[in-house]
Amino acid sequence: MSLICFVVLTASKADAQTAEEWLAKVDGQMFYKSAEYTALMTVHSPGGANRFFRMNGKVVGDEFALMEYLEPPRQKGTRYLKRSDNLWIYFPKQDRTMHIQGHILRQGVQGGDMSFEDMTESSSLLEKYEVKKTAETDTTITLQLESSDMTVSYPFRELLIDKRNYLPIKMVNSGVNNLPIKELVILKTKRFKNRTFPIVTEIRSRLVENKWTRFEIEEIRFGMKFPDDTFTKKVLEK
Amino acid sequence: MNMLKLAFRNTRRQPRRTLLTALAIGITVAAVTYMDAHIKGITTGIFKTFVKLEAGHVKVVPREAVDRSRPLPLDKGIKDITSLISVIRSSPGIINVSPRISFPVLLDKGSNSIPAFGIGLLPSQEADLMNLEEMIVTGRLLSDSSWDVMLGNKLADKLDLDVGDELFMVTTDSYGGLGPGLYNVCGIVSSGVSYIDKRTFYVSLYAAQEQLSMVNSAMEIVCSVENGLEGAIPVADSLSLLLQLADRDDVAPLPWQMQGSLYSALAPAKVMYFLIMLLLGIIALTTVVNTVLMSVMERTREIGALRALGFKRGTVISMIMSESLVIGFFATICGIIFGMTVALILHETGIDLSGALESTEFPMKPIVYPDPSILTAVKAAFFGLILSLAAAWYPARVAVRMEPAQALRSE
Repeated sequence: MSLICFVVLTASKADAQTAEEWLAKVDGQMFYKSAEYTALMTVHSPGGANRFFRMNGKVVGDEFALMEYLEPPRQKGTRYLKRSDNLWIYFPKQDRTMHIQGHILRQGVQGGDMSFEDMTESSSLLEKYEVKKTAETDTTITLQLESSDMTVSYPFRELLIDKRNYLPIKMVNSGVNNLPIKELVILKTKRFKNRTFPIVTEIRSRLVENKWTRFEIEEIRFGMKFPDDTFTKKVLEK
Repeated sequence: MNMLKLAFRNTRRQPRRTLLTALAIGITVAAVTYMDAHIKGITTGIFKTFVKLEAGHVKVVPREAVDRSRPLPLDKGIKDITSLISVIRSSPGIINVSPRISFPVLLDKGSNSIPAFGIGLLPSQEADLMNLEEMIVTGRLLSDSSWDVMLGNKLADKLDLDVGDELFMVTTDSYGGLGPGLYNVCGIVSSGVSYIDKRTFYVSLYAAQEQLSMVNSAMEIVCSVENGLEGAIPVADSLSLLLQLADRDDVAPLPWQMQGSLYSALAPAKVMYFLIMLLLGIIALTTVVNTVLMSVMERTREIGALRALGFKRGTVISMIMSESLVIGFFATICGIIFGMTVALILHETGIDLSGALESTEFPMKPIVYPDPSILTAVKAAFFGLILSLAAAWYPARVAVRMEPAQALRSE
């Protein structure tokens, strides 16, 4: 009896949550203080060819990130440094650094479906979007996000959230006319102590058929403390 | 023969009127002669520049690019160019074959970006096409497999770069990713065409393939052919058959005339030339008809007497037309000599149109060289003689309509 009461009370507590509260939970779930990971990125082109990129990344909140390609040889050593809204790329063969800005921000990383703009974006959706709940099932909830802020990459987003872990199972990102541009789908998650983390994520283009980019986290550690100069421009040198 | 003698004698009776008629015909013929050479000089110059800097005599392109106005994306380029070049080389009439990759890029200049256009090529294969060596202002030619760059002189000025400097650029590669390239500026070139020199730089095909992730690929294969401009269409036709036999349906050869709309765009220029010639003809015709008619009217009694003596209508017509033809003949010769002389002088010195062409996007060099030929003189002669005969026709008809008795009575 007490178990039933607990389930009912928990469920009614969940039901009572507003759309903003749901989104805040999602933001909280996607945010982590620091992490270091190794991942494999697969870029699938409409012609059927796959290109593979292995990378090592270090992240501190929304502010700092450093990523370096380990494979393939052509890209090996190429580094991306993110500091707040700024993004630099270091090309080791040329020993030159480029500040990513302007039209290049909209370009896909390695021609894939994640743009540089996506990389620089803050993980907090609640700060930038008006949110409303549009559908709900026993296990999922759908949120519709809309922003009038012209600086956001996608004025409209739709999130399908797993109620159990507050992760967006699917997120459809749309342009100014509310036409879908790309969708992000979490294919696999893994439990790390007290949190669930997406370890296989796929970004699918809604503009080009059969074009997608998959990220598979091979190894990840949270709560790392990095040396002070990890995210300085010094890393953009040989 | 007697008729010609009579015509010669008659031209001397009113020297001022004869001179006026001759001037009208001569100036018109001179203008037509020069204009023909000028238009030919402009069109041939444009075609040669277009072939040299952009089109080649024949260009092999991906089939998808044939009816497309915009450039193809880099991932749609021609694959396995090594085997394709072997096939093209075996085609009759082909002299040189050179693969090229053209790509857009934004070059950084401080906080500004300058849109530019890169061409990756094999300089050793471009001797009779885009001969970069001929275009060098300072520096040296880039080699076939270096990370050197040659900049258009106006682009170099905009970027404030000179020989020995480095140029770093990042462009979108064939996969849509970022393709970096660090080049050493080895030369500054001038093609003479303003819009090309303002935005074009040249790198080796090897460097372009590396930077754009296009190993053994190109966007186009440019060929020079025997018989130059005229030889392009037959060579393209035979190459097309050869490519089909080699199972290379993914590409199509295009003669320069079928590349873009330049060739068809110049057709109205020829129509304009014809209309101007027609207008000049009408103006001259009016003057000549007037002077010949005056001459006929002044000789009404004389014509009446000739008719009374038994001259037939046809003979009178011949007499008047011969008179006009004699004037027209000499005036035409003088007009051709004058027109050809001016055209030949300007063929050597050229006409500087750089001010007018500075902001146009047309493959035209700023110095125009009129191109006179024997055909120019023949066309002008034909025009002058027809003009002389046409101008005399109406006055001759007026003359033969006169009744001899009435003509003899006139004052």
